[in-house]
Amino acid sequence: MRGGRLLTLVAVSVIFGAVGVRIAQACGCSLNWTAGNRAAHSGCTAGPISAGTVSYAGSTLWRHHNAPYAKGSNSDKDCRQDADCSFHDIAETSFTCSWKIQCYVDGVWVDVGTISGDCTGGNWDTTAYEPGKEYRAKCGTNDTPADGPGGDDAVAYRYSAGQTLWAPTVTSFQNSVATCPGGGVLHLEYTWASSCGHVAHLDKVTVREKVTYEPAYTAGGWHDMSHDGANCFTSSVADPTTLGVVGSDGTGQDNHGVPAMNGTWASYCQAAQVYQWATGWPSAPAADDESASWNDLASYTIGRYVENVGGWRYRITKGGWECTNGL
Amino acid sequence: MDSSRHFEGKPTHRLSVARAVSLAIVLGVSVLVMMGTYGMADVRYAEPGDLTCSLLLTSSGAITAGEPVIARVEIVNRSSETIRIWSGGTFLDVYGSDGTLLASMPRPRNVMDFMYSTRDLAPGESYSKLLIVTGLYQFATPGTYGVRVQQLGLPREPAVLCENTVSIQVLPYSSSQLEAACDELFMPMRRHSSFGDVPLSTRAKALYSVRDDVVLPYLDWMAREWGDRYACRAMRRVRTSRAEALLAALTTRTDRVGDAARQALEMPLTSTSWDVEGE
Repeated sequence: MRGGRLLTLVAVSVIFGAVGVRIAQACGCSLNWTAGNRAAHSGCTAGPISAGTVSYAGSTLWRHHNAPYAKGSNSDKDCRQDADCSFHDIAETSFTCSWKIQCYVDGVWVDVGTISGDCTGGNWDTTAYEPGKEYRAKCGTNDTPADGPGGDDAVAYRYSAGQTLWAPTVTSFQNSVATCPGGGVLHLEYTWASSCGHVAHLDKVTVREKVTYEPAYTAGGWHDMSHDGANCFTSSVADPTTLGVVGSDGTGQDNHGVPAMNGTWASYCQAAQVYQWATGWPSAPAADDESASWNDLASYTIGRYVENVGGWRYRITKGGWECTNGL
Repeated sequence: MDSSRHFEGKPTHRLSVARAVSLAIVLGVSVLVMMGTYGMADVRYAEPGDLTCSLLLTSSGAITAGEPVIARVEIVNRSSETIRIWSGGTFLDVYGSDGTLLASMPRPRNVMDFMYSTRDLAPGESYSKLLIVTGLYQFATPGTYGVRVQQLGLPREPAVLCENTVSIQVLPYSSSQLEAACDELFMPMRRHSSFGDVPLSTRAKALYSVRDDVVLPYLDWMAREWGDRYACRAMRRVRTSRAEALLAALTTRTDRVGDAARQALEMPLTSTSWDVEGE
């Protein structure tokens, strides 16, 4: 019983104590923040966060690059009511910014990844993103929680203009080396560059040769170089021959070999060779994938001869190159 | 004796000092011109004994049946000079526990016009690449298998420069384990996050190599997200009614996804080096 009275007394004291505090504050106003402005906020012009614009700060938007985005400065005013009941604008002094990449999918911009950045700009590593699609950067600007309660603005989003992400292409394809290493073999080497300036970024590109032999003597994908006995050549070769290397190698070699022979008489076999490149996603296309979009780089006719020029010899020609071997 | 006869190889002892000096200069210049014109390589091709090959299949040495397997191959130049190797010259073979050859990456044969790329390795330098073993052979049955890697030399009759064989234990099938393995490959694709040690295309090819309905949602995602005809072809390779139905549904679309699905119907199903080669 005594204990119950004591508890009641303590509770009443606490309540009255609190009321006393509230009464004391009612003589002025408690500090109060609002993120926006209301009619009653005489003297305040506070509004939502004015976030700086977001813009792409690079040149062509290439895959496998770091894409820089610039961000304009942010500003924001919150309204604070002081103890004297007056209202004042208080400028935000710090913001946080978070960045995402969006992709345009079926008519809607969709968040597809998070990128690094702060309130001065963002940086997008485009390596893992499929080229050919349209992307934009999205920056969310928030005020910091150091304001008083009620001072938080909604996050303000700004977007860069949408841009196509480009896959680098093969450029400057050229012959760099030509040799006759012996035995009638013609050895050629080629180099190429990337439109983005970094040949290592051609990792989704295949550079291939496609060699098509004279078609009348091809069956089951194999070309009989004997041409039914008209030639002394006896080799049978894949027709077409499609072999490729990954574009990021930046160089390819091509050995043009000598067919096996059965005797020696005047013989000739011709092939059409084209060097091509194609790009793919998520992998570089297979060299024999004819559904890929192949782009021509250079075309040649390859001629293989057995001829008597005061002695029998084998001769191979391609473009302006030629190798011979006595028989 | 005139110089033309000399160049035909007729020996003479009456060569003057002046002529000898001129000849030496001409010969020297000729060699330099040839090297410049024809780009004579100063790096020799690797020969047997120059290289060692190592093969890492999985950290535990075991998988469950049907799981995708990615191997890391490391080729080291053990010689004392810089040597050149054929970049595409790494081949895999799979053997049963009794030594039976079960699958073999086809070696090039009768290639008359042979395009390839090379890589130079300094003494002690290593060259590492990923290969999708299940692009060649899917371990559908539990047991012990051997996987052999060979690095071949050039040109047309390539010698084996190095080889190594490791065994892999295949445990009984577990759909949950297979799904977990697929998930591990897939999640970085979906999140556009870091691919770690396994690049995107290697992950994709590893998923293409699975022959089980479990992989269909992943293939479906790749087909829809990227218009990936190889993912559509992988559905065909699964060869189940569910896979066929999924592909059939994609072929009815009129966008690039439908194009990819229809292209996949025309693609050969036979595995090639492309299915095995990672990055």
